[in-house]
Amino acid sequence: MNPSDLFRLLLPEAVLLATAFLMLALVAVPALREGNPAWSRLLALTGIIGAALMLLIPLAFGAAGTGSANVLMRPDSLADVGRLWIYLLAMPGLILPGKRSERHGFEQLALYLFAVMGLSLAVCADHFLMLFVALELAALSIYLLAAWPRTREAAAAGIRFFLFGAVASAFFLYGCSLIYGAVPDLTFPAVFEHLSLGQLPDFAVLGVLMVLLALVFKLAAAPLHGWAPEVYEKAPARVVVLIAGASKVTATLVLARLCLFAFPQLAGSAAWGSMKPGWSLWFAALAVVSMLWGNMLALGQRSVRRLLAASAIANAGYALVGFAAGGPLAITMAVFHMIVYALATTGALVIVDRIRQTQGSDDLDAFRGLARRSPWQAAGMVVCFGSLAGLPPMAGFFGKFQLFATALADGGNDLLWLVGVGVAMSAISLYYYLRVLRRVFEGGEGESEKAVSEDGLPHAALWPVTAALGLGLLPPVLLGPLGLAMAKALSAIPPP
Amino acid sequence: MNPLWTMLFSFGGALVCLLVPPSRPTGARWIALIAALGGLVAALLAAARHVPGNPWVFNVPWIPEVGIRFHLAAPGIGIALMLLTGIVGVAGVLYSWNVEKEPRAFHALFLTIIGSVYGVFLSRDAFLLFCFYELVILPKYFLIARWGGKDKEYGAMKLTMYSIGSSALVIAGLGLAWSAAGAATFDIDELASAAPALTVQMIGFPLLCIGFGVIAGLWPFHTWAPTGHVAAPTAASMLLAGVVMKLGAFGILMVAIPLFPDGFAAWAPVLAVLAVVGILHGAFTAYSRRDLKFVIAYSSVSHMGFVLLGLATGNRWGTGGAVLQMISHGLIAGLLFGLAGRVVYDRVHVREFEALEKENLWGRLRWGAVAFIIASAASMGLPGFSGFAAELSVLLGCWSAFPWLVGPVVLGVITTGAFTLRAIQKGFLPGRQPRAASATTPLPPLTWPEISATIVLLAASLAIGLYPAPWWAWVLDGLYQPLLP
Repeated sequence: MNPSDLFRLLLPEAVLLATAFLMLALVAVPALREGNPAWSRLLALTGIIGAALMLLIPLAFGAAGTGSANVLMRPDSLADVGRLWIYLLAMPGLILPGKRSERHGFEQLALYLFAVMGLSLAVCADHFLMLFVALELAALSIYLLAAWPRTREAAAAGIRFFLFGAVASAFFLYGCSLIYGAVPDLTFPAVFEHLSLGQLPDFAVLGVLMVLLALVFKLAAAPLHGWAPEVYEKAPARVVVLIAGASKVTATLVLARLCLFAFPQLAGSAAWGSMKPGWSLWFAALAVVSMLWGNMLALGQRSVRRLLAASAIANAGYALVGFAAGGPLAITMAVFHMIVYALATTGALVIVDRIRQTQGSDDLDAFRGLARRSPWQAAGMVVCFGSLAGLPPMAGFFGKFQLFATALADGGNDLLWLVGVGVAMSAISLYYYLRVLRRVFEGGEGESEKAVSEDGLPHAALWPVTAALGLGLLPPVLLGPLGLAMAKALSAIPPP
Repeated sequence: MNPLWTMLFSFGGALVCLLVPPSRPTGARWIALIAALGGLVAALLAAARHVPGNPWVFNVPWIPEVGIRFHLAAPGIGIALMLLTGIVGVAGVLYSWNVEKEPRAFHALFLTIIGSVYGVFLSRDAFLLFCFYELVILPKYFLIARWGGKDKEYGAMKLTMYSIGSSALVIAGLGLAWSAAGAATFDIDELASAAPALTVQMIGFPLLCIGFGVIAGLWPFHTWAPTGHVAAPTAASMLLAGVVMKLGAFGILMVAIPLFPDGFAAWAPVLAVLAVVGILHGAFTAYSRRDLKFVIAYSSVSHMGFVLLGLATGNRWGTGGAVLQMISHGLIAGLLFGLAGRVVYDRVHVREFEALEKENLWGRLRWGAVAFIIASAASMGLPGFSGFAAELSVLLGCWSAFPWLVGPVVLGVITTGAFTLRAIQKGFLPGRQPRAASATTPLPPLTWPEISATIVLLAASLAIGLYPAPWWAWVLDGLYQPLLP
């Protein structure tokens, strides 16, 4: 592929980069140096919309997703769908109003765009080091954003996230070096080819495990979830939206690419009675631990943001069930599940942030009487939490149901043990989602109705809530393109 | 107007209820009544136009990627159950005419449940059916937790956790069936013709059967029913006992058995024994309870035992009887809960026999007492009422499939008579206890919604009991063909 083609395929990232630099340049204007005007967010939003258009316009003309390999990048159909959803999921974070007193608004938003760009590049990466650089670009921006308000809380969240993240990065790099010891070429196709010819030595398999663990950290799957509750609770809402949404979907897509494009031969098996070591089995183990740990942790939470962190751990576990099944269909469903989860969580986080502003806390009891104070926010909560709990007609219902069904079909019915754990845990999860929803609809009789019932659904929640409901009524809108993209991307590589 | 309108009326009515301005609570009631009547009319029209062997079908792709279709059909059995839903729905709205607390939301939730129940009875795609089945959970929870009586939080949460546990088993079972059939379709007919391996069937059938059975009140997973029924507001009790429990039985009949026929054949005796234990347990516990609503709730468990027993027999008499019993119990349990909750409790605010004895209901609420006595007679399975035809058929089916179980079942029937007679005697006939001072003032007379709801339900039960032929025709027409010998 010649450089101009590559540039054309990476136009979305170029738009993001240009917008970010423009925002940094604006800081030079003395009047804007300390400010945080509303149009700064609009500008950043325009950047993301522009990036999305750069993806969609070639699609409309049938020119995108050629999938031809470059040494570092493979902006194929899967990457296109992935990038589009990363942008879509990053938008609510920009619509979310920051605190008026917040300083350095432009720099903050530039960092946000850098983070989105990093995530966007990560799903295109076709080389371990390219992947590393892209993920680090996103991660470093996110660490900074988490600690941005310079309060004790935010700093604690930022530092904790950074320390865990640094360890994960070290894992990733060390894993890469081990793989490099066996395959003197770090592109995914090279690893794939090497594996087609013969086994990897044990130390390189360890390297693969380390790389995967570093990515599982991004998913916040147990036992690598230690950062999640604190970051979710204390970091600014904007960055939590990014962490819970776009970043999770990226990690899932990257895992999908690694598992299906780089080393599908190392799958092993998690089937009951015929287990073979490999990533299938590792993911199965992580899935069980995550689902158990996340759901148990969530049962006792009073802070709804912490509850969402625990639910993130649990949902990472459900997604890993798809990976444990190992087939492309199950992994597609895992990606679908993660996107749907990200939408619902984003919507929930935005509404919770609004509650935190109006009620001064995100404790369970702060939600009492929400239905009376603001029926639209209550409706939003029902959609988001209903989707997380997997109730129809919300998207989470189809996502979870089909994820489990496909895991059974892909992994053979011998995966019933793992699906059984997942189904049982997701049944338990309804309890803590209902604990929140229950409060939304009770009490509040004493409050003056007129004064507060004007408070509608926050604008940032509008799109995720609509999507969480709409994708439940019409799942093919997402599943169709996603399945096609996966099939098309897979057809570009030789079968393992 | 095709059967799809049953759902459109209900869901549409639910939406419109929410749009009524809060200052006009009666508007919400009328809208709910019109929507429920619309559903009933649609069901009646469907029944009138029904051609045996050539049911109405609505089949469009929904999620083609995984083979899910929006496939509805109204075979005879669906028609019969739609009629039941329509009747109970109308009666439920009428019995909740006096709900003063947020009537808009109440009726919206009520209509959502009704609409989902229609959806389940019409679905011919396993995923679609399950979707409607799940759609009931949240409205059920909020109806009880928000408008319920004593222990409403506990009852609502317990019911919800049991429901969701049931769903978990159903998900696993449907996943197995889908995967065994080549992961290409959720259509019940196509899944049924796939005939999975015996090992899959042996696991899959109990998953689906227990999953659906939880909601049908299968012993020992029935304990949500008494607490849930008792804690629920009147209309919700009627819906729970009247139609929601039928969803479970319908699931076993239309999904579990056709999908895993060999698994069913192997597990049928176990199901039959559990059903009979349920009949006996429900009847004995009902006899030991002194709270009118608890007695009715446990009698529901007992009567649903007949349904499950009929399903377990797997023959024409038993299965047909089971469906007839579903309809019969739906009407009678709805009526009993309506009378106990709305007519009696909302007037005298007591439900315990000791307290009811002192209330002199025979003297002060003559027609209420008469209605309850007639309803109880129907519940006992007296000839002339729907319960008689239904339970007799189930017993006939049981004779040919499990003759060794007939003895315990008859004991259950006798106990049912005992606790029902006791409820009548303690609660509604002139008592021996000295009357309380307050028990001489007349109670508010029956209102028109109460009277009409009572008449509708009683008339339907009598109609089935006196002339079961069309119902039998519907039921037998709609039964899944390979099931019957």
